[in-house]
Amino acid sequence: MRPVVLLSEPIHPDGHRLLEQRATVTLAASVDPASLLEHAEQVDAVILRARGRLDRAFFRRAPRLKVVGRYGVGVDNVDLDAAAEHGVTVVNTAGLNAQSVAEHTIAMMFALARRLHRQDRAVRERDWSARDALGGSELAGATVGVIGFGSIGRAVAAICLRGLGMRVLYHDPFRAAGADGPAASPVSLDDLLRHSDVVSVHVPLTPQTRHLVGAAQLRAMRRHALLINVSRGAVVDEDALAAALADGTIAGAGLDVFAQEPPEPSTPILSAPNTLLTPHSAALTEQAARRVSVGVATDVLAVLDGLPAVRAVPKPTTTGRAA
Amino acid sequence: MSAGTVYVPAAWAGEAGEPAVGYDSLRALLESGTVAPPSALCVDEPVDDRLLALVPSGCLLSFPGTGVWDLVDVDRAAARGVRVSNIANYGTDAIAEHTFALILAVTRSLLQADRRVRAGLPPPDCWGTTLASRVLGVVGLGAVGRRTAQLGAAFGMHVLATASREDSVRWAAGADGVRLTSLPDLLERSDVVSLHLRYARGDRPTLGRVELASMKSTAILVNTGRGGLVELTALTEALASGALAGAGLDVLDPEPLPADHPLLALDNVVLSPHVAAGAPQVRRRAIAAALENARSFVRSGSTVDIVR
Repeated sequence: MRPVVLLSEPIHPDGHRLLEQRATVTLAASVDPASLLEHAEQVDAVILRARGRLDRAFFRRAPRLKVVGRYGVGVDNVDLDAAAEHGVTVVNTAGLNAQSVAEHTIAMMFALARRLHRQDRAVRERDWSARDALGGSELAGATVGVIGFGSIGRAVAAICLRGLGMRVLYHDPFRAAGADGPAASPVSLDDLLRHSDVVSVHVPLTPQTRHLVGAAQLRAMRRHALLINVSRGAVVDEDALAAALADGTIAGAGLDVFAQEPPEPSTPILSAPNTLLTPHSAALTEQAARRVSVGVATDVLAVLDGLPAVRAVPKPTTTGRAA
Repeated sequence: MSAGTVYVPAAWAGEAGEPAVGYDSLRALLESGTVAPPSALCVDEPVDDRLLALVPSGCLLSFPGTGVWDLVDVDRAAARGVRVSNIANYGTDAIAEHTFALILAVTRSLLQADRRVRAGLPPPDCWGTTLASRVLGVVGLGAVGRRTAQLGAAFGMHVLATASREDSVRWAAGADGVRLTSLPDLLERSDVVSLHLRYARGDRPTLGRVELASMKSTAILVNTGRGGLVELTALTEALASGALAGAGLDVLDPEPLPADHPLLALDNVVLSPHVAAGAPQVRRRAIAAALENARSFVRSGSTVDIVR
């Protein structure tokens, strides 16, 4: 019998085609818990994007479920304990979108350092007098602090070191400093915040990393510093960040992720000054989407065939989950 | 013969100190007849032929930037015995970084994305492209072109480049991952085309209608060189029709564009008001170097950065 694969949302067609050759592919009507739960009894596999979550109730109701594929890296929306208890393998696409997310991080760094959105408006409004105020600053010689040194953090560090001539500090809450990364210096979180001109966050969302960057951490940053978060919204205390931007504690922020997605229109961060906001799109380039789609489909089909997965997420007893 | 004087725009007075003399209007200063050789004029504006005719022979025009060929007719100045100096390499990092700021903002539709979030719209399925393994075409391998090529290589891009000067050809031969080619080949094969050429007043655009039409429809064009390097009407049409995917433009011809110019209404364009080298620290370096050229000329009759 053909296995049934549930998609929480549409995926890149290349992976979809791969699944359809071997399985019956079903698309959920929405990512609401009730909508996903409707399919629980029939499914052998679920491919879950960043929205929606698979909690204990789902695993209880899904006797045939063998594998959950995260179309992305973060597994904060999967109850890993429940998955392990029910013998369900969880795979993600760690590494496959690293270049895309890293480039988006650098894109935000540049856009904020150059105040590109204001420059663009100045040209369209023919406000040439804005030129003097909008020169921005060079990144060459500046210091970037990378929080979380998994495949994305390292890719960011590599571009900053090799391409931009920046000094790179990093801090990883999960792994000890290793000699395997690019020539970056491991430091404490506090030192990183105090000495960086740009701080970029690349950790997974876990109980340990919720509000890892809060009011106190923002106060430790330099007044001209920029914060970039392309990881998960809840890793940064969004309201504290909005306040820090409003009172000049830090100079700007680039956010691809939010506490709630899409953010409510009344969310303070939407009206905070000097922000550049993108809709959780850092990993959504054509190339990355194709790799992620084919990668997750391949791994899901492997597990259904009883083969080992290439990118299995470690069971929750182990710490050191990759970002 | 008495020693010359260093004249500076009034706005520079704070940077210049003694013994420079500030002026409000270059034209008024030259018409007053007080400027005598071997004086040096620091100039932060275009010098047209009529203004140039007022500069006494044996004086220096010292510009705080690299590209002076669109600001003054260098040959005409030489023929009149007026020296011209520019500054090489003062804003290399800043301009190359701005080039990539524009490349990334266009490939990731950053400004559109920002508007979408604020409007509460959901993200589309796919958004933009990754730079790694795509082809960057660097037109012109002066200091900024070289730095841009290096940056592209750091993003994992394949770099094609054109070069005419012998030192640039030599540089490319020794650079990792940079291949020289012709302009037509570069335009046909590149996913990102970036312009880093000199432009003199009256030059024909390097990218006219035919050249733009030879680019991939998925490609983007970035210009941090000079507006005159691109035929603007043809570019606007290509961007509006989808013949070209996007553009990042720091320079336009003219600047600013007329308010009703159709380019200003396009969504697939990121614009900046000629500020690639405008970081305050870069600007201070440029002014300091232009002053040093002026002082050195008055002192010894020579500068390090004379334009020939």
